[in-house]
Amino acid sequence: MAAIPRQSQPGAFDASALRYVVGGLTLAALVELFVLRTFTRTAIHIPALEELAGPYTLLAGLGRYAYYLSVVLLIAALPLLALALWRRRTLTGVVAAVALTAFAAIAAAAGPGAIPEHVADAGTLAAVVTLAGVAAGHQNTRGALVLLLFGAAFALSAVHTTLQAAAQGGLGTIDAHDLLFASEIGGVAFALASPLLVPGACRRRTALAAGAVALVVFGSLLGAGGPTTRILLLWNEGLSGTLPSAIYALAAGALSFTLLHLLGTRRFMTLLGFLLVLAGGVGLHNTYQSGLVVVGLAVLALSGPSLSPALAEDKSP
Amino acid sequence: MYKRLPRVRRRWQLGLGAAAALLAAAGLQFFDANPATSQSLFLTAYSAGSDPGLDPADGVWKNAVPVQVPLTAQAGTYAAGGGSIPTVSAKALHYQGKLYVRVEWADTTKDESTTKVENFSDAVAVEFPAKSAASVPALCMGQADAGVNIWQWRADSQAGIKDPVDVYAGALVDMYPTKDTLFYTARAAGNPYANPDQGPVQTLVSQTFGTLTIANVQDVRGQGAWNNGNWAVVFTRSYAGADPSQAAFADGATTDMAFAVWNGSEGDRNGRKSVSAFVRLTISGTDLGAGGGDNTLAIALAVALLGGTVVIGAGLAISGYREKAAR
Amino acid sequence: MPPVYNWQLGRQMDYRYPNGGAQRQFAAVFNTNRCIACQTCTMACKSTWTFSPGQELMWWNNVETKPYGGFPRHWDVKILDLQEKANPGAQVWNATKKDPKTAPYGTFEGKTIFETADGVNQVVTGYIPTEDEWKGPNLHEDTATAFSKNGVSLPEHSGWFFYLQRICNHCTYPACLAACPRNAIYKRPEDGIVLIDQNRCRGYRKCTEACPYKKSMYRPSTRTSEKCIGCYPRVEGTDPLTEGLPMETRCMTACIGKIRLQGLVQVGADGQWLEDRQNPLYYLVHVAKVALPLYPQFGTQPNVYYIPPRWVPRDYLRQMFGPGVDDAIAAYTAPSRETLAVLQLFRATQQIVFSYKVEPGPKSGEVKVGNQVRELFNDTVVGFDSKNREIVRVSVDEPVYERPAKVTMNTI
Ligand code: SF4
Ligand code: SF4
Repeated sequence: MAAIPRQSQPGAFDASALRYVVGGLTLAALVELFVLRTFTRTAIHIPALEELAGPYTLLAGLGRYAYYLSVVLLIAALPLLALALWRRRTLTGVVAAVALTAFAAIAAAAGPGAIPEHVADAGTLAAVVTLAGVAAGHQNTRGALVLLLFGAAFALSAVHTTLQAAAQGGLGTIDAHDLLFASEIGGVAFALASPLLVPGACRRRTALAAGAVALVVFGSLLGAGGPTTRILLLWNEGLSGTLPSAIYALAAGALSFTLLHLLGTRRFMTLLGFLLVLAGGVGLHNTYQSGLVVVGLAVLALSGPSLSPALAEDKSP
Repeated sequence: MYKRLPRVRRRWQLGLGAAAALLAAAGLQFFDANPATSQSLFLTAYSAGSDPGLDPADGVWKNAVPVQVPLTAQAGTYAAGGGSIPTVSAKALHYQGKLYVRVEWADTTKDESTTKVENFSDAVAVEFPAKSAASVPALCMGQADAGVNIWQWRADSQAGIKDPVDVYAGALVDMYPTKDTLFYTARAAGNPYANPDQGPVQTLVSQTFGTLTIANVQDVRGQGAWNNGNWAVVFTRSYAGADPSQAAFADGATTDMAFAVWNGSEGDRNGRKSVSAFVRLTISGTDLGAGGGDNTLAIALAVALLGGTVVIGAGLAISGYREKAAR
Repeated sequence: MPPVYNWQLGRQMDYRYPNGGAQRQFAAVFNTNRCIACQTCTMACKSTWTFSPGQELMWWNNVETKPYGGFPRHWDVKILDLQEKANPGAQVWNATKKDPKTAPYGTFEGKTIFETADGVNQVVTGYIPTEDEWKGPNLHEDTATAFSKNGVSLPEHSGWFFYLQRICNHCTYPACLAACPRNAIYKRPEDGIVLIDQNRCRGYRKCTEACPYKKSMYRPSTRTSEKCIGCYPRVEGTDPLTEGLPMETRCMTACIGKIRLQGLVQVGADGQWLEDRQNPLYYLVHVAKVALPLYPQFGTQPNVYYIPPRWVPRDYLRQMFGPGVDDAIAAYTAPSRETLAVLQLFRATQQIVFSYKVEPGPKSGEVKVGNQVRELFNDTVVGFDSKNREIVRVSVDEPVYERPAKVTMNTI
């Protein structure tokens, strides 16, 4: 899935180190997402798992390794992306490069607790919003809508978190939990709107596969697996699952459609950026997941169908 | 101008880069050095001036700042067409080497009787990683190879396990030949769930992975109260865990925690429950302040953040669009 | 889910675990034709196991009147309804796809309770009967379907009811066991008895929901579920009365109507009974085919077998006991010499009869069944215990004693 695109014409971008780093990062992040954040969190529900202790421990270890590899590649991707954006020498490019650098600094400072939580939260929020704005600006109008919806969902949830962090820091409390509901709607709207990113005729097989994903999600949300499915949704994507199940099923179907369509039309860089954003999820979880979102948005900013695509899609001239 | 980006020109360069990344990752894993930091919600337990006790309505709690933690939706809520995000409001304090956690959530039905076969109890649980796991933020819990320590409070346990004849005043029974504990089979078999004297809170542990079991030492106390459609429950335990499988706390320490809520009238039991996102709990040496009071600052901050978000996001999107048009 | 073989359905089916896992299986035959609903069995069980607080609504053994009765109320109608809704119009048997050994009643082409469940929400299709439904067993149920002005006659009575005796079926593929998320329910390999570990149970009531026969019951005073334990100390032979030899359960041995016979049968790895020609249960179920499982279509492969009531409309009985009903009633109405002899073993001893032999006797009379005249022989059946020692000897003709005309004492 995250294959490194091969350039048909020997040109400017095929050998960019950025492509390899982003491709590797996406691969590692997806393994981490499915093995560590999804499988090991649900494995306790598998009967007779005790008998599979050996393979299980191995798999969990592999998931951890994927996580650390993902972190390393994330750290490598940040300066490379900042450089690429900086060299655009446009206002948005420079602003985006600064946002990436600022995020890296914040993430580094937050670890040892050098800055207060709410400052780190607000900084991350600003970085994500900035990159979402830049990425949106480099899409066509329909694509811009999709990315702005994601930015809005992320921001609403992150504002809630930041305000609570500020309250713990003694800045006074306000009950802002309605922001979470707004964020939920934004997140679902983003997923539902995501096919707007991929213009063109819909292929029958892509649509069928997306429909199948929607059905599976619908089934698992409706059943007693529902609580587990919703826990994964909250922990991985930052959504509570409070809207009617059919909406989430449709959202999953829409996302799968978008991903499959990107794959089918060989727009690999957009695909990678999109996958990274999805692996990060909505809202503030930790600097790693925030980093995935930041990098994903930066990749989308660089691969958009607009000017000077440093990560131009193969089809772009 | 893109030619000035770093490039991979030879196979061996790619190989070298990949090897370096793989090695670096292995190093991080080996030394358990996690460069990432939790950004989830966090809760600070300040030092209380007086013993908060078990009463959720105790005045000390007024000054503690709550954190509102989103929960996953309940099966019932979502079947009914959804609603606003359910949350639990959590507060924490400490007093003389004891941690106090207070959880409050909305539940319009008070389900505290399990006399009828079709009735299930309301309950709430706080989960901690057995090892203080701030080094692996929000990735450790629910992972089956990291031990978990769960404190569960149940409404029916607090109300007490009763014989049906004590619940139904008009019940007619010819006679019981004996009321010996031996014939309360599960109780006689040593099942803690069947023991009426065990109190409303149970400590559970899961070592590595596998089933959750009841901890040998039951040292968590708790009490809940239902008021106007809200449950409030206080948990407390000394910092030190009875054994390594249980969470341990210390002044200045940080740990992850999560909450789970069961709604009896929805048939919630076992895995059928609502679970919260992760919260980081920090035990602060500072005394609890006066709290509450002014929230103008918070409102200003909210406005600034939301306003800033709109301005930055939309502004950049538009200027990006202009740049594109200018070319 | 691994496929397992269910011979009562004549096909493979899905089950949560690989196989039944028992080498010997608790099994019984109940002759519904003879039951008088005295409830002696019910009280024998109650006074042995369920006399304590919290067990008031618990009747591990119950005798209900069909078609209106049921404990808990309407249990079978409700499950049949759930199944029909899950697989409308398709809960049917193909009685022609038959094999004397592997599909003796034909093939069930509908879905079992395991197969209609979504596997996520429920492992087994079922429901939790409310407290009310467990209350007042037997109330108002002794009612015939119609008043027959001109009396009734075989083969089908115009107004009818009959008694159905029910205990846990210690199923080969227990639904209760499959549904338990705590793995607190287990099936013993030595006798196939299904038990709930009272130490592990946490009262999730998944078994109560899953058991189609509603024989796993919730006990509020301990917040756990309890169920029939097959009087396992007696079946193990640890009761001092039988000197270490397996003995039948309390409900069996107490039976006034002599309708019950219980024992242990040999089971193969695939859940099928191993050939054991001289075991009375094997004979009745697999050779004479006079006794049938209760609602085999649920798919748990229950181990209590019923000789169906002769006078009841066949479509009702076919729904309840499967397509083997007509043959079973024929075999009971005009029993072979051997069947008649084996039926004499019912309630002749407390010990479990592991094998029998029939000693031929002289012709003792004739009887008209329908248009046919049948000869009767006073054969003798001899029962043996697990060590092949004779434990009982009964003849087909009941011995008659004549009292002297004049008795010295008033002995009635
Ligand atoms: S009859 Fe019910 S309780 Fe008994 S073994 Fe079968 S499923 Fe379990
Ligand atoms: S003791 Fe026998 S005759 Fe009496 S109700 Fe029970 S099964 Fe029927």
